[in-house]
Amino acid sequence: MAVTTYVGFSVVSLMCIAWLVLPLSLVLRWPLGTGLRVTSSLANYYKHILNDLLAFEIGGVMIPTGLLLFMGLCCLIMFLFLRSKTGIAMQAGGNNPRFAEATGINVDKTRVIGTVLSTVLGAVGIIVYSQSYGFMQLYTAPRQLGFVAASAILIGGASTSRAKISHVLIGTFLFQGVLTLGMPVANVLVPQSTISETMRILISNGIILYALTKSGGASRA
Amino acid sequence: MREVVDIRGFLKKNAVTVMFILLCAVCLALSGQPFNYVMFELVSRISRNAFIVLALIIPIIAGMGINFAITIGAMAAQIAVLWVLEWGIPGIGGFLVAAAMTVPIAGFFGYLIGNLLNKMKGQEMIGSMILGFFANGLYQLLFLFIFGNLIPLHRSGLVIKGSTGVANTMDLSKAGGLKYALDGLWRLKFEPALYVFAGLDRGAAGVDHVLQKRSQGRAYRHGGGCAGRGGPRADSGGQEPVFDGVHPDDHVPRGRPLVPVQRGHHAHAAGAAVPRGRPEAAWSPMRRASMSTASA
Repeated sequence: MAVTTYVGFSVVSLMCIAWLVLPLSLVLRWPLGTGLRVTSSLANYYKHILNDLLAFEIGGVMIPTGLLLFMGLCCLIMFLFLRSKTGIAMQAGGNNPRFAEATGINVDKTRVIGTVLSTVLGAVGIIVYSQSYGFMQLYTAPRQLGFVAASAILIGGASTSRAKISHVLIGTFLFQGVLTLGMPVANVLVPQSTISETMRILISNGIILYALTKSGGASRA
Repeated sequence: MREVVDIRGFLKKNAVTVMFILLCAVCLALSGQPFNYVMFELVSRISRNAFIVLALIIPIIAGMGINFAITIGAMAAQIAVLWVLEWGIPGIGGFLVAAAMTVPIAGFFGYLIGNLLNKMKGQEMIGSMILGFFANGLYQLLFLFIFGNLIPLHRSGLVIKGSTGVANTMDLSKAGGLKYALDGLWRLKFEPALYVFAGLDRGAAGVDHVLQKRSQGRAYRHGGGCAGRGGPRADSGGQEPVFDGVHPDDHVPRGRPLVPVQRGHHAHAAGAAVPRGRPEAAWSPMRRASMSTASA
């Protein structure tokens, strides 16, 4: 995990240079100078393309049907994949690498496949994410993304060696629920301050820490 | 022909270092900065940073990998420095007070971190990194909402103007600051400094050489003798506490008893006594297997 964190950090730094020097269209550039803007609006592009698909309103709450359907579809594909031959081989390699190797599974290969799929899902996920917000952020914006996702899946009941689709759904609900409800409360406690940002740091990292304590050492011995 | 092969092997082995040095040289030439300035910067940087890097040795030896949570020690120090500034203790006195104040705080934090890391064996690196982020949250809570609000600070320049909380940057160079408290103790020009430190270095090397020779001679006599027979401490009667084949009544300088012994016939015993990092292969697959059965 420490290695993947640093791979992420270094690629973010590399892309910071890339966004500055790549010859891309003028629309996205700073008004002065070269390089792309930090935040680009997607209003004329694919903003809310999933949110507005078949959207309807119930009691003042807009239901983003397309977004939910897309999420459901992806969960279904994941569900099916985990029951395919490759998926099961991958899980065997994760549970007990020696046993999997002995039964003829190339554990290194399944690990690479897993990393590829995870990276691809992250890529599709950020497009869904940005169409929902209506803008995209470049440069150092993606740096903390992994930690937010990690705390969500861990609060949902996953550990560093075991995860299910239900953990994803429950975890995202709980984590975003804590953030949505916690921030206004914190702002009432200390008005007009950045305390909500501080609380977000504490909550999100505290959850990851808690989950890591469950991953090894005395508690699992 | 042989020389060429040697150079190639050397380059292959140290490719990263060589590339780094070349990069530095090219950048030095391209930057247009005077050589003296770069050297001055480099010396002060090395002395500043080496101390922080020193903090990483112990956790690596203890088998925890790199402790990214040293930032928490830095936070403990900043608490101390803040109060030294608030009390207005200047110079080396302030430096010593800050150091004395921060040691117990950092020690307490270290105790907590150590206990937490014991609960996440095998994940210490990412754990300490996340712990650093978490502590950063607590730190913001302390510096933005507790210091300057609940605990008032009176000296000017410590609190953000027109707001609450401690300022982002504190000036240590003003009267009552700590700037150059250590640097200014003994300053030398480059040339005398070169002579002084070269002399010190040679002196230390000479002392080291003499000590090593003495301890080698003794260890060969005793350690070699007792290890050569192969029996576990056969000639010491199994009673005396023998440390790696060197008798405790030998006046071998502390801290280097392993060196001569490893060169004798006793290498396996000495090697076994030194824990070389974490025995990764010994426990990780089994742990993983037991974890998965426990969670299934």
